Amino acid sequence: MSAVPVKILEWTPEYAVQVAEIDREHQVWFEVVNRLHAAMLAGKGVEILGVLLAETTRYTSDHFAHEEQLMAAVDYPELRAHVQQHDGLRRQAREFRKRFERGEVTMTIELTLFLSAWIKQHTMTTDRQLGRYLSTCRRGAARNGSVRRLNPQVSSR
Amino acid sequence: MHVADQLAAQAGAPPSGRRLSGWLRTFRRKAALKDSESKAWDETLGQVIADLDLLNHNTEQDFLRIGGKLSEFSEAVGLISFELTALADMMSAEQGLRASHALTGILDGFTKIRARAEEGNGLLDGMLREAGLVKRTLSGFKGTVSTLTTLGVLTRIETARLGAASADFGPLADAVKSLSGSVQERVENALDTASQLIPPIESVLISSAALEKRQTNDLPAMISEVLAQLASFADMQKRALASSVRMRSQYGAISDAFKKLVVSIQFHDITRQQVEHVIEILRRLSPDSEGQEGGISRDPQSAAAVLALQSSQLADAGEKFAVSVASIARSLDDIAAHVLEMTEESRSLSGFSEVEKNSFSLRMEQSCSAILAGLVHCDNAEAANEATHRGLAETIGRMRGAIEEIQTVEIQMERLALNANIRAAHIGGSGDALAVLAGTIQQLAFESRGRSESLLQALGSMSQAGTRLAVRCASAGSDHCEETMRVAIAELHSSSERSFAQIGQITVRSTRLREDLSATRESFSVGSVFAEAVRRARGTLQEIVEQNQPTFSPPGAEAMGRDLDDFARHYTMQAERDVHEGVTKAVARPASVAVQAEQSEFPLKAAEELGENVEFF
Repeated sequence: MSAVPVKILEWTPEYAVQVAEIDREHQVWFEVVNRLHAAMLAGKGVEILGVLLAETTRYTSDHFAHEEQLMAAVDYPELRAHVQQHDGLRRQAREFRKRFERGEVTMTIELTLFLSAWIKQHTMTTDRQLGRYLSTCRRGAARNGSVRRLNPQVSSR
Repeated sequence: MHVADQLAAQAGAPPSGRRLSGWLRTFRRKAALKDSESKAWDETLGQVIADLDLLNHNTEQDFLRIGGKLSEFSEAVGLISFELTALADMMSAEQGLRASHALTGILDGFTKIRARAEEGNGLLDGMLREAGLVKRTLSGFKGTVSTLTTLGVLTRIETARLGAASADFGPLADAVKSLSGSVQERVENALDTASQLIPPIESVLISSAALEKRQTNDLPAMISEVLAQLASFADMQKRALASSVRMRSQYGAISDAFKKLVVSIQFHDITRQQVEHVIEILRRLSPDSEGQEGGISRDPQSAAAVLALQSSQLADAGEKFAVSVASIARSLDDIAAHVLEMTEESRSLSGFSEVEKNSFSLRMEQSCSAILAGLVHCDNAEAANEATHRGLAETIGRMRGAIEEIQTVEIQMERLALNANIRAAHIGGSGDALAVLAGTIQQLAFESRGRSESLLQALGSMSQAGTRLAVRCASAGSDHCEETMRVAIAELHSSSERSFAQIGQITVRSTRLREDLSATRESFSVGSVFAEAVRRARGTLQEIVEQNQPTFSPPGAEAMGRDLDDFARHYTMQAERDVHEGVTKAVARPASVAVQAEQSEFPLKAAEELGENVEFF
């Protein structure tokens, strides 16, 4: 019998925000945490820490930019508060990278706890609220018969 | 006398033992059902059969589902137990030893670094003192220059006063003037060098000393932290051992619960067969079976008795089923409770409280980070020391050059003073003033030499301290102390993250298993469904019994009811088969406890005497 890694953070429908592209992107985040956990289980978290921190920073930036474009396109009323949360994570991600670059490689446990808690909290509350709003906008557009595209390029910010 | 015996006696049948079959055989000869009644019967019985069939099917599905889940549950519990044991072993044995070794190594390293830091602090403090002395000594030269300038003026005045008598002194005044200018220039040059070079040295020395002091101050805290971690680790190892024992016990309890679960599920097989048998008997009461092999006579009274028996059997099956279902639910709850205990055990083993930030693993990681940060400070301090040494060596060289130049002027001063003294002696009494001037120049030269020597001595001390610092830095690099400590920290952290990940894994598995157990438990509503179905079927059978036995109220009817209940309680299909065989072949002895107990009361009869309807048994 061997300890086969389980997904420590499994994406289940309860995390769905009902917007397919956002849900897909969120699943990438879950995978980052699961990859880190699997490496830690083998005692090799530090080996992939640099790569994962780089990915997390880049992915966080891309995903947040996407969400923020979607929010701006529909004049999402909670945009400001939502972006503040994004900025908080961007700052934290940068801080983790700086610490890593300074030679502080012993941070895998802290990073796992931080990312898991942040992802769960943000996905289950803030993003879900956004998802509901986006779904309502899309249903409204469909009812009106006008195929109002939620063009991410059109920003009202 | 039992009612069956009474009835059997009325019919000329033997007393109990085989009394049930005798009793039924007697009453099968009673009047046949009317057509309309027969139709109603068939429909009602058909419905009961369909309901019981459906019940058996559904309950079987439920039990099959639980049975299917059992292997999943068992596998999950096995994995959790395996991982918990591995975790406890890792903490108490492999990881414990490695971590203790690593922590001890780190402690040794810090002790060495601390000794080096204290030595470095002493050297740097000494260098700072010497630098201050150099500065003060150089300031003293300012007075020498000023006095020498004054002496130059006085010499010129004195030689002018002496007039022709001082014809030989003309060059003396010029020489003092030139010497004064030379001393002034060189001292100013040295002071200028000092003013340019000493502050940066002081700054480097101060920052270097501050780093060393910080290191010296931080190190005790870090050493205390490592000692605390070692103590925590020792404590955790003890807890891990105790925890292993508890976990084995919990796993044993879970295994017991699984065994009970399996027994309860097997028990259901008995009730299922009981219901199947009731269904079979009811089917044999159908008109299609009448006259066929195994068909049961449909005369109302004997059929009523058969139905009463089936009703009792259903009641017994219902009781057994309820006990079985309650036991299954209890076993599932027990397993879930023990799984929760195992999870809590793993969490408490690693110091996880409600707040994960208090976990042992995380605290260990934070300690590793603090130690690494401490090592970075050490590196910085060593680098600063090296830079200080390099800068200091260069500065000391330049200062030496400046002081050596001053020393050459000192020699000139001494020679000049000597010449002036000689000439003053030649002049005689009028040269006394000049002799005083020459003596003062000599005194100045003497003082200046003292200062120069002090400076060279201070610079020598600084140079020696610098060399010792350099040697210390070189030895720090060669003993690979920091490198060894970094390797130890990496190992320590690797162990911590493995424990952390393992606990996370166990928690996830346990949570999923508990949810699965809970869902299975919640969906397992078959107990109430079965009870309701049995109640309904018995009610219907009872109605038929009452409808078809309007006049059936023999003496001892109550006792007959007890007999039926007793038979049903000790009912087994084998018992019924024995009765059947006993009646038809007049040879077999029934195995049922109740029936068997009274076997001796039954004189065996020939099969032909038992009537044509006994086959239903």
